[in-house]
Amino acid sequence: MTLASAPSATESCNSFIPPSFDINKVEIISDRPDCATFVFTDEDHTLGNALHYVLMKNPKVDFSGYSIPHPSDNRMNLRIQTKTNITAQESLLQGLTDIKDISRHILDTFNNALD
Amino acid sequence: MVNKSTTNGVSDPNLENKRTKVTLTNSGVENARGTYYNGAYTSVGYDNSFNLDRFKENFKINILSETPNELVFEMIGVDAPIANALRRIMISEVPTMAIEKVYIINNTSILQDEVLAHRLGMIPIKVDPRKFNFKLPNKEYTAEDTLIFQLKVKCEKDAITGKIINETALSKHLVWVPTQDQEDMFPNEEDRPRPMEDDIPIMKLRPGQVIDIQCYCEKNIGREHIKWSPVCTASYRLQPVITVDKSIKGDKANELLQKCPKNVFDIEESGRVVAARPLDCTMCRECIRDPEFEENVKIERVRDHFIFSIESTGALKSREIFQEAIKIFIEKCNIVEESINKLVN
Repeated sequence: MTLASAPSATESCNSFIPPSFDINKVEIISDRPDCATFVFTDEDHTLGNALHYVLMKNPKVDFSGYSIPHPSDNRMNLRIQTKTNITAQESLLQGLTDIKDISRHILDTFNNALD
Repeated sequence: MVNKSTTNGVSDPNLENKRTKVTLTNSGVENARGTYYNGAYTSVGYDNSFNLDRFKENFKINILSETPNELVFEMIGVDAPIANALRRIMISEVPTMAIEKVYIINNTSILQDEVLAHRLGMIPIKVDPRKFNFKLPNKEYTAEDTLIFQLKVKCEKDAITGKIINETALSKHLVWVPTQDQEDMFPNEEDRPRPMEDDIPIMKLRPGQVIDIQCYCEKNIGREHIKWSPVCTASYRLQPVITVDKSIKGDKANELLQKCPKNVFDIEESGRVVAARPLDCTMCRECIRDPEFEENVKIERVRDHFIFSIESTGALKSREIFQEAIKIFIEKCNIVEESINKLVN
């Protein structure tokens, strides 16, 4: 059987956007360099809470908090207020690096533990 | 610069207990929420900020048990937001293949088409999802994103013996129909796409009833529909710590042993009560219900000691699900990073 014989149903009712799709993931709302609200599309507590956590642990960050304004919207807001010498964007990038470092170490340790 | 006191924790024992443990009392759970602010313990000389080297030093993973479908391991030295993110990703963001479109050519059974289609979607398909792409909306099916299964069952009465053949349509009746060069994607017989179990009943049939169906599997994630979730469940709990004061002796000790429905306690030769099997504790708090015992028995959980249990549906091994979850977590960060860099430049 070939796929050409497949009935032509191309419409999809699914809302998930595959990662390969190029969408504007983050929007920045800010009028000062040291504080900003980042509006994430299609992210939830998974990244929100993890980012909030690593940002709070960063000594250059004064405040971070996240919220999901409405459960039916696929948006997540992250608010950052930094101390001096660093912009909110830089602190967010640092936070992402921290999460990646933690994750890589967890993966390495897990693989070692399996052997 | 790592202060010596940071590795030992806060010197005040009460504060240290609050920082590292969740306490259970008769009236409820105390200190359930961790304190993550970097300067929270500055006044007592403890640096609460994140430090990769310190994290690496304290972090441990021990595998407790592994069967083909279930993995139990402990993860020590990581805080709840990270552990929870991994748990959430395992449940709802690790992709698998599942039946998504069902073309019903003939169905003379008593099960309605839409109910049947829904049942088919729930059958776990054993195939490595990493070999496939996500099917993009409004695109035709290709061999790289779709698997086809055929379900053709006819129920008959054997003319000679009178026995009914194919009384139940089972998942083993789902036959993979390779398209194009899909056969080359699975050179090993055991890697070939098939339902995870052979004996899942799909529907009951009576003699003369026929079903003839084509099923199209797509790759997607559990957030879209739970049928794409690779785990039966992925969960964690915190390591329990139960301490009994040495004043509990003799009759009191026996009374405490009787109170515990899970038989957690043992009496040592010295007469002291110890929690010999803390992992069996279900946190029922039966042992501290009597106010007299509440003062002498302490039930706590270690805030950064997680006991993960990952039960797989079969498409991926439990260990692979965890590995994939970490990779997806990193990939999520990369996507956000790219997006910010694009905005700033």
